[in-house]
Amino acid sequence: MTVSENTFENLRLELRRGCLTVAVLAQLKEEHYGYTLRKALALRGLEIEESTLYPLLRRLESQGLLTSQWREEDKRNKRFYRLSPDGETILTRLLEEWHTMNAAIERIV
Amino acid sequence: MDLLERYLQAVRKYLPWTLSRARQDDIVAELRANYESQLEEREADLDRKLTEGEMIDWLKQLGNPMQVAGRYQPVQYLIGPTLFPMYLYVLRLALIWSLAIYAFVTIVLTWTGVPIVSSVAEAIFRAPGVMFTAATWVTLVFVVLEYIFARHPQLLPRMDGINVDWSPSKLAPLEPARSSRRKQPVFAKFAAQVIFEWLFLGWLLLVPKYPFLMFGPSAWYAQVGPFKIASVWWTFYWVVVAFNFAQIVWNTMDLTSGAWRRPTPLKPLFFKAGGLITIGVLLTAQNHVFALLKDPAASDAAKYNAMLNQLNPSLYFGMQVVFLIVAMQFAWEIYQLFLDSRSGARS
Repeated sequence: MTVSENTFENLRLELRRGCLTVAVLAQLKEEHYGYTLRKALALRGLEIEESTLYPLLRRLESQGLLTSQWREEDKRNKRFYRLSPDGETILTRLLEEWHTMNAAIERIV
Repeated sequence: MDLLERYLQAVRKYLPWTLSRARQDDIVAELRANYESQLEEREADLDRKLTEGEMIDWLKQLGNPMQVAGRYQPVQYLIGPTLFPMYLYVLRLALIWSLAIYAFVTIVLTWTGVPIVSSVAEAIFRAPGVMFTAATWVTLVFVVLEYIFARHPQLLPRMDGINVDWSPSKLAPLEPARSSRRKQPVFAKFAAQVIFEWLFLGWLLLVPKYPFLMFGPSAWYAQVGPFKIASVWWTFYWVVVAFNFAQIVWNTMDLTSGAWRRPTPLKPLFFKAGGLITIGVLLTAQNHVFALLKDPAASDAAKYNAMLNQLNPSLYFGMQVVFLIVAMQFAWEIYQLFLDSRSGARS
């Protein structure tokens, strides 16, 4: 990887990191377990690696933005996640920020 | 399925040790549920079990177990962005002061009679260790502070440079711009400097024949007194003459060619190096003797020898201190030159 490619990759990851959090929070207005959440995001055009998504869910839960519970489905125990009341508040604010930023970028470029 | 279990076992092995056993079990169970769902779906699509090769490919796609487990590491800075600028500042101060104190202590110890060459060599080799120790302690303290403040941000002290409620009015006053340190040259001043340098050289060359030009009436005492100067002073004298001559020739050439309008930072550096070398010459004095008796067999030689035994080590110590100071100035000039060249390259 050349220096410029490396720089681009780092910037891309930086840009993507915050967007992924917003997307995950938004998608979890509906309850999902890890695998179906990943599929739902992919279906809407946002591919995300398992090794990124699953730890992210844990982190958001420990921050109080998600709630989770183990429940049996299709004869298998799965951990289901859903947006918490705090998560809803934060998501609303993040979306406002995102819209403002997006509009500004649109005007700039 | 055996491969998946082995994969999960490997992930579990690398999960952060700070997580409780129950937490680790929970993470592995969640991963298993997600992976099994994915596996089932793949097998349903193919309408058969995955072959071992396909299983290996799929697990490789999931990622190296160590990296997968590593993602569960809580986001924790050793020293976070809030404290890091303060850390760098304190680290720089600690390194400078530890080196300065170490140098001072070394000089004092050397003066108290330890063999000079071996102790100086030892001191030089020991210096990185001293700095490393200072850096380690500063780093450890800041790691502990980061750990505490990350969990209790309200404890963060109200310090300029750390807190958000800093005041612009408390900022240090403006420093003169670095470029303004070099004054603009004036022809008359530069020409006068060159003329005085030539006169100084002439005076310097006359001193051996007419010592009173330098020592005044005390030159008479040097003639009749019991002491004479060591040969190292003559080496010193000729090195001083040589450097003065080089400086004068350089300045005269600059004056005639017009290069005096564009002063180069290398010139003062060259002269500073010259000063360092001339003092260094004195430090090479044989047995650190700078003055000796004219007639060691004289009846009062013992009395004067006792005086010399006090005088010579004191002179040597003084010269070591001067050498150290000039060396530090020299290093500082080089550092400033480096900063100037960097800022010049940036602009």
